[in-house]
Amino acid sequence: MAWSLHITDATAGELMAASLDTYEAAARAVSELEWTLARSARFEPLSTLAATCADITRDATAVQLSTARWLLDL
Amino acid sequence: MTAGFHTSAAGDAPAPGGRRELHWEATGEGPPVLLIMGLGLSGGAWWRTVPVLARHFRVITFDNRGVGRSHSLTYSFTTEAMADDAATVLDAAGIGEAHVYGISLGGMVAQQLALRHPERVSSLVLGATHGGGRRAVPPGDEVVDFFRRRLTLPQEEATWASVPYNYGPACRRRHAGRIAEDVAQRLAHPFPAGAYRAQLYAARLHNCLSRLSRVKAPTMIVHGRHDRLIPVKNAYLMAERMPQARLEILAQSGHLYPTEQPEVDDRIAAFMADPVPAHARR
Repeated sequence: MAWSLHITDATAGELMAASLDTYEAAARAVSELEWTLARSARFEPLSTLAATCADITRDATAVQLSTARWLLDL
Repeated sequence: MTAGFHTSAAGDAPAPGGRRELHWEATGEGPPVLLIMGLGLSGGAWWRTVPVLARHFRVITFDNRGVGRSHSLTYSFTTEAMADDAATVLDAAGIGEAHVYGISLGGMVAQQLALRHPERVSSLVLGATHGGGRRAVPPGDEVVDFFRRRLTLPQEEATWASVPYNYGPACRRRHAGRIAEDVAQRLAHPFPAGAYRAQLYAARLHNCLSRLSRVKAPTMIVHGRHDRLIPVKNAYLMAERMPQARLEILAQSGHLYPTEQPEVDDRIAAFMADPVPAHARR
């Protein structure tokens, strides 16, 4: 019983870690897209707006992920 | 940058999105090395290390966002964001892949760079840093109290008051002149309190320990045994997660070991020149 519980815990931890990794990858893809838009936009305020969104996406995600990993000890 | 070596190139790199300028400088010729400085200090604070590494490498230093000649529109900092900044400095310097050496907060940024942009890191040196997360060993209460109070003190008083926290007892006894040189360098490049707070926040949020095993680049971990800011146990914790890493504990040093035991820069240069020794290659 203890052995199977241990396996279950490990699997849950791995699943949570994988979920956080997927979320991180998705957020990075979104912020990359926003930066590409910021660099290619030829007029303001679209460029500034896209760059600000990209920064917020990355930094807010970083804070969320760091907190989640800290709480879950991952 | 402080006198003592010749800067061969310099520029301002646009941070991701182009809303921020990051000042960088290059010295020497050879395979590229990117140096990432710690809390509140500009790239010029690498003035002891650059001449040693520049004998063999093209050494890139830069001012982290909000510090020195780099500007920031906001004080929202994370080590992830600072790692992306470092990658854009490499872009601006025309470098694809570099040896990356970060100290203290710079070591945390270097970890993020190796995780977020692994293709940019040919080897990694983590100096006086920690992997973050719940298992990181915090400094003692006295140290935490001091760094909270530090911003309320005048710059010169704060710089001198931080000496017992930054340097080990041996250096304070034997190399007061070196410490005075460091203090003079720091006072010549004061930092804005907002950027300092934001970088402190980034360091608190940093959390890479559980993912360090994913770092593929050959790694060297360097730490002073008497480090009061980031206790040496953190170096052992990181080494546990990175079994391939080379661990060098400096018996006579505190946090700022490049001042206390500058000879370590030669060993770091040797590591970068041959990060995977022939006997370890398959």
